[in-house]
Amino acid sequence: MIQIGTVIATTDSPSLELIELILEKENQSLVEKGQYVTITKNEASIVLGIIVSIKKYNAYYETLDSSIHEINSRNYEAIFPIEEWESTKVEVKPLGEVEVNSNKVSRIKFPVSPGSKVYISSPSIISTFLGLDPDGIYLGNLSSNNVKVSINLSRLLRKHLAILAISGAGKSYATSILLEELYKYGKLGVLVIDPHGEYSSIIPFIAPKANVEVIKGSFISIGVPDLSAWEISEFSPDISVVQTRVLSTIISNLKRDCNNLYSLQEIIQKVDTSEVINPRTKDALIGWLEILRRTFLFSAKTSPNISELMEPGKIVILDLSGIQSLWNRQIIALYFLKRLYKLRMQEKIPPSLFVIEEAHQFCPQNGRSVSKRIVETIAREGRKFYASLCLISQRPVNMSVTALSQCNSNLILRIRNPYDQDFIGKTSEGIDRSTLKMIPSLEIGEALLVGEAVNHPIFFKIRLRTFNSEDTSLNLGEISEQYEKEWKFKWKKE
Amino acid sequence: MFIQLTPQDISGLTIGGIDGGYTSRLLIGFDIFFFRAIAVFSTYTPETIQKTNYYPNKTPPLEITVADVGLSILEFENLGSIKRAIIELQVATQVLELSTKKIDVLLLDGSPILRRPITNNQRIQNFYQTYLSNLSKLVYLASKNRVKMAWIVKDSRLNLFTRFLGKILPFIIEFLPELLTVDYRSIINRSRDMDLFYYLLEPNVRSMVYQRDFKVTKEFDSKFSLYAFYLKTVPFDIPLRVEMFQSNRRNHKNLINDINTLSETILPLSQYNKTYGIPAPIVEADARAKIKEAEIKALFRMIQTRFPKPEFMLKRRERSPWKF
Ligand SMILES: Nc1ncnc2c1ncn2[C@@H]1O[C@H](COP(=O)(O)OP(=O)(O)O)[C@@H](O)[C@H]1O
Ligand SMILES: [Mg+2]
Repeated sequence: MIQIGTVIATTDSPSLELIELILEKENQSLVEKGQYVTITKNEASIVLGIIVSIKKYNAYYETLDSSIHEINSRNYEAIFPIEEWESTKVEVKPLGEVEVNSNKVSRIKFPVSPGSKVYISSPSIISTFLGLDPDGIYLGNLSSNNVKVSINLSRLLRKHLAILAISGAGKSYATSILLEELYKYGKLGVLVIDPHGEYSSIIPFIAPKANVEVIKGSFISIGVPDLSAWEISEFSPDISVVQTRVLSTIISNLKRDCNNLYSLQEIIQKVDTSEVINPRTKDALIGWLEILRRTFLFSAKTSPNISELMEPGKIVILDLSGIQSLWNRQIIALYFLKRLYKLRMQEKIPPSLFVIEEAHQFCPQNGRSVSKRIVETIAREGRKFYASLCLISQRPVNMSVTALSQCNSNLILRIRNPYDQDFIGKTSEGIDRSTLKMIPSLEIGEALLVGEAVNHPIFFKIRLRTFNSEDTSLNLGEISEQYEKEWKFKWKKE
Repeated sequence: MFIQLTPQDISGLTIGGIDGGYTSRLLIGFDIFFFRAIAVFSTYTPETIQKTNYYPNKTPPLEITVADVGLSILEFENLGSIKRAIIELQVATQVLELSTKKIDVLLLDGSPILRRPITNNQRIQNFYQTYLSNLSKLVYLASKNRVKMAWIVKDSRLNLFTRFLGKILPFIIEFLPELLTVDYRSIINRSRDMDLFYYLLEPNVRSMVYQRDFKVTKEFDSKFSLYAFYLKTVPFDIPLRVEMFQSNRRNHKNLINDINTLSETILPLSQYNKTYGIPAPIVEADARAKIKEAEIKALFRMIQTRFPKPEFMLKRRERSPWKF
């Protein structure tokens, strides 16, 4: 271990909250903010801390006033050995104590002594201390101590993960790393709800064709015979209880008469021709059903076959980029999540992860969203059935507090908006003020992971993707060029 | 009576400063001293310092001496200051003996003149003799090695000149009628030399040189004499008193030449602030030699944990739990 300094005694240090040390000159270049350091406490235990500030001091410049230099043209530096007085004071936030023999990690109950030696922590001790798992999900690297950030799969996902940051901070990139690892891990079924269709171009690079299924929104259809009246009313929350009961009767008649081959059109007809329904109920119900019908999401048969969708190690992407209406997207999300969750509860599909991009669109805190309830339900109860959520959003403030607060691990990238920062401070356990303050200064690809996944919040660099696809977001020029090419091609054919 | 000087270019020279620190603590049963002396020497270039070396090192450990029981307060203080002076001379001698680099100028803090202690305590008398012999050894060595050595007195209560002025003024008063309107005698009698020269000297000007009366040993006194003069370095600080030994064999012209060269070397080292004009090597040595309260505390804590004996407890007045 490389010794970098010695703990000094000041009015505030060493305490349980702060350890100040003076750096040794020779090793100054090895030290940086954010680095983990080890302080020997006694033979049996060490204290692990993180460097939070570095300050240089020089007594010669302490009271330097303007009258210096006034007399002689010679520099102050020319006659005083000023450099010899430069010292570097480092502030370390103590994080916890590790028993040397057993590697047992505990809270610090008593400060280290002044004069204790301070070392750069070894990767293995950091790993132990942070609760990393060498066999886990490899997300990135600590920027200073040469430590691989591998997170235990269960700790990361079992109690749900939220990935939060402003747009462009690298949420989708980080998610693709997660998916890459999950494919390699091979035991989970993964569904990605992808409103922008970003993943359909990335994932095929990550996993072989057999392990990826991209479902374009325009090919999705919901089989009406698979739906109960109550489920239909869930898509269109304005349908009243009375109307739903009427609908229920109609549907059971249809099931009997049509051999399970009917769509909304048939239901509408049946309602229209029924003589027993009160005319006002009838008009309203037909109105709602007509609106649903015009989404063109419904037909007589469900496609794709949801019960065969999920397999271990397979990534299914619902590419909703072709679907403009938010409501329509929510209907699809609701249907898929609901069906898959039920299948999971019946153990008919493998343990699953549901990744929801732009999660604030699907489970907003305010405003109507038909998919909100199922997301909240999985957030609350999914853990019991090994159904996990990964909620991704650039507006945490707009997200359902119920859902977000159930995400026990948070991967936070850069967030500038103070409201969002505040909100994260409140919903995310284990973030203290000093950690929160560092979020705005994160750069692209830098992340903070807090919560269940790790013993302590960690800042680290998201690793690079192993596959070499070009940047998937083409610039405007490239997009125009591509468009032009396709257009010319079509033109020639015609 | 006053000589105008020109600050010299010191680049290429190696110049040293020496200072010591001491403090004492009263314990139950006995008292102890803490000493430290350090030499700092730098080699200059036109823009910066090429290298600074410290002897024995950058933070020399404290030297601890136990005082005899039954010393009077005066004897106690005598002992401390003589011992400190001895340690400083030792460091100076060792630096001159050991340095691989040619040292051009060596500046020591304070005056070489230590008053002979008035005491029957043989130990103190012996220490005083040791001081004198160390002093003569150092002066011989410096002279042999051609090191210009000077003591820098930052503050002094001497009033040789003011007393002299008081004596001659009555005879010249008729040429200075303004003085008749004030009680010049009482003003002059209450002033010290440094105050007087503060008004009389301009920066880069030194006073006349005078010889000081100081007995070292018979042999030494026949070879060397101690000279002193005042040197004003910056506008708003009292002048420095510079004291140096010179061989009696030198003629007057060489002696004055030496004094002027030395002064012109001290000037650029002291001119960095209008109100503070002490040579940089002395400032640096003083800063390094200073014994900090925290060091003593830490030392005591260490001693007490290693030897939990009551003797190592501070006397009651130093153990007061209050810090008023
Ligand atoms: N860890 C990373 N390393 C390198 N480039 C990254 C990293 N994370 C993101 N980027 C780049 O930053 C840009 C925005 O990333 P993206 O994941 O789309 O952000 P978000 O989903 O938060 O809006 C992309 O061009 C992506 O390639
Ligand atoms: Mg994105």
